[in-house]
Amino acid sequence: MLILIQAKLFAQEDCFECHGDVELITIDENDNEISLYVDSNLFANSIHGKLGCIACHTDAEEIPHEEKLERVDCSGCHNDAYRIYQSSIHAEAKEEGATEAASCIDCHSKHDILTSANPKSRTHPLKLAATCAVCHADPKIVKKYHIPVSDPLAAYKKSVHGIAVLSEQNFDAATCTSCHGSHEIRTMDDPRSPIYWKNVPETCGQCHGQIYEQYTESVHWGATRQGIREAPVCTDCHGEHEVKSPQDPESPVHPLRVSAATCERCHDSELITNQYGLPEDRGETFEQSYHGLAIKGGSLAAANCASCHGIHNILPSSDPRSLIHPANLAKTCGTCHQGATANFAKGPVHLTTTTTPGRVVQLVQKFYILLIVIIIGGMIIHNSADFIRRAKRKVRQRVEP
Amino acid sequence: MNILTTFDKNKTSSYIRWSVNERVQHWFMAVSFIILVLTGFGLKYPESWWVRPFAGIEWLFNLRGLLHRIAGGVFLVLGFYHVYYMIGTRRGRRLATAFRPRVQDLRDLGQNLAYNFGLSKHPPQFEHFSYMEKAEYLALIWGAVIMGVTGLMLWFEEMTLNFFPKWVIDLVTVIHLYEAWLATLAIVVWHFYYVIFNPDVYPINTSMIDGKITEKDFRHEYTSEWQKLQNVLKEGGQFGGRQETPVSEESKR
Repeated sequence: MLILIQAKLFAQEDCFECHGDVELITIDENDNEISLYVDSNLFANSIHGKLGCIACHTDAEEIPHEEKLERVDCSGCHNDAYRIYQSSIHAEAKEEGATEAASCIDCHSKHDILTSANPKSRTHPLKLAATCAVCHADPKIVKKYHIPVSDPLAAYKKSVHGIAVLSEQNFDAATCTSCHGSHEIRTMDDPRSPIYWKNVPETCGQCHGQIYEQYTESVHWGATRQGIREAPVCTDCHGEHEVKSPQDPESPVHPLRVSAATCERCHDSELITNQYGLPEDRGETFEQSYHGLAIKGGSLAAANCASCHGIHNILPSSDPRSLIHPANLAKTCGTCHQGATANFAKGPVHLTTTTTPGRVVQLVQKFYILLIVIIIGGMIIHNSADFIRRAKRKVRQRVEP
Repeated sequence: MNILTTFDKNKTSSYIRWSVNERVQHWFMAVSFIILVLTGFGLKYPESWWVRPFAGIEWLFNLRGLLHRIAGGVFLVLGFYHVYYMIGTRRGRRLATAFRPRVQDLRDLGQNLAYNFGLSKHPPQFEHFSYMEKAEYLALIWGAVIMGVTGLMLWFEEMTLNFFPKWVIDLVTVIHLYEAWLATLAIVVWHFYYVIFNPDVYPINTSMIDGKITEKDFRHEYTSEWQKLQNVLKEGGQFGGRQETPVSEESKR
C-alpha cells in the first residue's frame, strides 16, 4: 500500500522531464559516461509499466532527487525469487567479489522487463540462451572465472534442443534453465544442482520420462546410485549442450558411431574394466566381427552395441531381464536374423582368447600365418633365384649378342 | 604320351597352348577373383588408404557386398563348369592327366633349384605343365574349395547357424580371411612372376589372350613335350584337321 500511495505523490511525467532526455548522462568513479536516459515507451509497456519509477527507486522521494540513488532492491516485491537467488552460484560469486556475476537485471534487464512468456523478453526461450551467453560466451569472463564450458550457446544452437526452440519455435524443448534451473542455478559439483551428475537422469527425465524409467532399471543407474562416477548418466553418452538426435551422423550415439565414440570409451578402458571387473576387449572384439566391420563400412543395418545390449535398459547377461541373457539371445538375434535358433547363444559373442572357441580360432589363425610365411616365403626365394638367373642371361645376351 | 600343345592352323612355326574355351574360363576366373579380392579386403580393412575414401557410405558398402556375392557366384558356377570340363570332355581329361603331380615334379624342383642357384648346368625339362604350373593349379583347386565352402557358409549364415554353434561362424570367418590372403599373395608372388615379371616374358605372357606359344618358348620352357612332338613328327605321326593334337602310335592303340 505504501508503494502505491507514494507512486501517486508525483506523476511519471515529472521523472521523464529529465530522464526522457537521450543525452542525460552521469560520470562514474572510473570516468565512464553512464546514460541516464530511460525510454518511456519501453517502460510503459514493461511488466512494471503500471508502477511508478519510485516503486523501485524508493529513495527518489522528491524532485530533484539526490545525485546518487541506492541500487534498486528487487527483493522488496520478489522476495521468493530473491531468497532462491541468494543460494545460487551467481549470488555466491558476487559476494566473493565477482562483479560480473549475474544479478536480477543482468538477465531480466532494467526498465523494459517483460514476463518470460513474452517472446520479446530476455528470458523467453527464444532469447534466453543469448541472454546467458552475454557472459557465458564471453572468453574474458569464461577465462577469468575458470568456467568449464566455454561457449555453450554455439553448441546449444546446433543441438536438437536448440534447433527445436530457436528454429522450430517449440518452447517445450529444453532451454538453459530447463536443465540448470534459473534463480537457484548452481555448479555441477554441487549436489543440490540439477546438473550434478547423480541428478542428471532426473533432470532429463522431466521431459524424457519414459526413458528415465527405463534407465533407472539399468545397470548404469544401479552403479551411479552407488556413487560410481564412471557409470554413465544421460550426458555421458548423449553430450550436454550439443546433444543431438541419434539419427544425426554427428551424434556420439548414432548407429555408426556409438561403439567407438561412446561405449568403448569406458568398456575398452583398462582402468575401468579392471576397477569394476568388467569383461575386457568388448570394443576390439566387436570391431573385428562382421558387425563391427560392416559398421565401419557404413552399414546401418548391421548390429551396433545397442542393437543387442539395449539402449537405456542395459543390464548384465546374468539378469533375466537382460536382452543378452542366454534365454533371451535367440529372440534378440532374431530381431535381425530371421529364424535365429538357440545355436546363436552357443559360444561367446565377443570372441576373446579367454574362451575356448576364441583360443581355437586364434590357433587356426596362427597356423595360417605360419603357413603363409612358409609358402609365400618359399615362393619368394624360389622365384628370386629364377629371376636372377634369367636376368643375368638377358644381360649377357644384350652385351654379346 | 600326352602332347597337348596343338598346331596353329595358319602358321606351322607357332603352337596353340590354350583353347578358346580355356581362355574364356581363365578370364572369367581372373575378373571374378580380382573383384572378390577387392570387395573382400575392402570389408576387412576399412581403415586402409584405398578403402577409407569409400568407408562409411552405406550404399557403397551394400554394393560391395552385392559385388562380392555376384563374383563369388560366378566363381562357383565356373568352378562347377570346370569340373565338368575336366571330367566330361576329352581335352579336359587329358589336361587333368597332365596336371597330375608325379615324383618327377619333385626331381624337377630339385633340378631347377640346383640350376638357378648355380649348382647344375642343366635346367629341368618339363612336359606340358611345369611343376610350377601344377602346384599353382592344385593350390587353386584347394583354395577354391575352401573359399567356396566357407564363403557359402558365411553367405547363408542363418542356415549355417541351424546346424552349427556360433563359434563355427567365427572359425569359418578366420579361415576365409587367411585363405584369401594365401590365394592373393600366391597370385601376386607366384602367378604374376611367371606371366609378368619373369624377364623372359615381361611385360606380359600373351598366351592366355591369343592362346599361342612360340616355337622358341615351347622349346625352352616345355622341352620334354617339345622333344616328344619332334619324335612323333619324325616317326611320321599323323595329324587330324585343324588344331588337332598330333597323335602318336602309342595313344592310337
